[in-house]
Amino acid sequence: MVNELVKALRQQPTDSLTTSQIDSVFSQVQTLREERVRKLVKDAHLQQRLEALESPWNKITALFLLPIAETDEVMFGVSKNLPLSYKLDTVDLPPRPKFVPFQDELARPPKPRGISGWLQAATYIACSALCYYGMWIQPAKYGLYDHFDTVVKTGIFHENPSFPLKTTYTGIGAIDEILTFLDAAFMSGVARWHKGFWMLQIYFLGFLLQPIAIWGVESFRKRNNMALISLYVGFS
Amino acid sequence: MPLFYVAYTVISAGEPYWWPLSRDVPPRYSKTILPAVLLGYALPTVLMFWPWKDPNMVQGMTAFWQPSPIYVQILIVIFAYFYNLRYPEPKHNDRKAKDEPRDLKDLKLIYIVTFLIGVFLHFGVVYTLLTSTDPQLSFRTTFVPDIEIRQKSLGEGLRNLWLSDFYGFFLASFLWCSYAVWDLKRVGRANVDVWKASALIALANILFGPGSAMSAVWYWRESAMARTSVPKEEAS
Repeated sequence: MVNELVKALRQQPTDSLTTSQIDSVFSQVQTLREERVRKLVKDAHLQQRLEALESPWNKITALFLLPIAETDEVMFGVSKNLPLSYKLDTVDLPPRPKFVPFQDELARPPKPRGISGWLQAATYIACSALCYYGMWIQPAKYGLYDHFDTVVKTGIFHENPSFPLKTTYTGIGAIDEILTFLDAAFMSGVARWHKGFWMLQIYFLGFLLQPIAIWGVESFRKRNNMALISLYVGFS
Repeated sequence: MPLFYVAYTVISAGEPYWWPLSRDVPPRYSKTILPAVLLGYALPTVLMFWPWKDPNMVQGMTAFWQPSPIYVQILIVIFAYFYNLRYPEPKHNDRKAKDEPRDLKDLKLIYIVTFLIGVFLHFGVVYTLLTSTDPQLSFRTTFVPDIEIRQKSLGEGLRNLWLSDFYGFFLASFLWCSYAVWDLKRVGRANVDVWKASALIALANILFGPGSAMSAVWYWRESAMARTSVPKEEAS
């Protein structure tokens, strides 16, 4: 509010403001506040529900998740609810490094992602769909699966009949079945029967190193604790 | 795997996500991620492609490789546990915003090492393909899909299946990097032209390989997120 008043005063050549000017300043302040108060009320409500153990999910969070979380994480969850602080425009503060910045200290005020966040998610899903098509639908058309089934069933590779398919790894039936299946899908390249495939595997799997390292970093950041670790294991 | 990016996009929407405060990776993790990645992923990958003579060994190693991204996570947790025993983290944290963030050096090292491994791999593969006199081993037999629908050998069919996964994944990764730049700009932590940046990322993908490009982007991103005072955008 002080910011708006000062702005209005500066625009005014004389030292006093008219009633209508003061009125517009007030209404501007109100709209600014309304948005922030709405968010505060909503978040406070959520927090109260959690503290009152209102739903089963709230109970799980409060009783099991919160005690194992670190203090910083809990603080982060709570402080997320506080809208960004504003500071007085007229008071010149020396710029000082901060962990949590004031809005006007950034290169530009932060904006919510809006529609483009959903667009981003959609493009990733499109990429997944592309993979799915190329991995399951297209190969069925050129008869890869019949070919593949024969190998898994008979244990003989056409490309090298003297190379028996290994079917026991751990001694646990279900796991061995998966490993047999995967090995059959890898062998043509790994054993270098198809040299182009072999090269592709080296290149592709070699370049998974960086994403794996980066996901490792991301999943151990304070902010991502819990949420990402489980996802990471799930998707890998 | 691109679905992982969807989840990440949803999690990282809020503005507080980008504060330097929540960027922190505790030292027990920042110091152990790199050894865990090398031991848990790089080593099984090398072992898988090692020219073993014994079919049993080749397939055993390939099976051993399968859960390797999970080894990485398990190793990080184990190493972090021992690191914490050796160097327990002080109860009171008196980090100052003007200090160099404690994890920044470790994280940058992770990005540099993975970048160099990627460059090495990229040049190795490109060199092998360029100097190859074997008609079975060329850019065409490695990276160009055969979209014609006809009966294919097992190796060729599998290569096409892998190729669609390869292109789908790295397209999504390229987008993820570009969106990372866009996101940093959105929350006011960077001043770059997103289109130029993404053209640069695309170029890095071609020159150094997709994983290396990702490491480079993350190196830049880490520095931008770690800044506790952000230079103002120049008035244009």
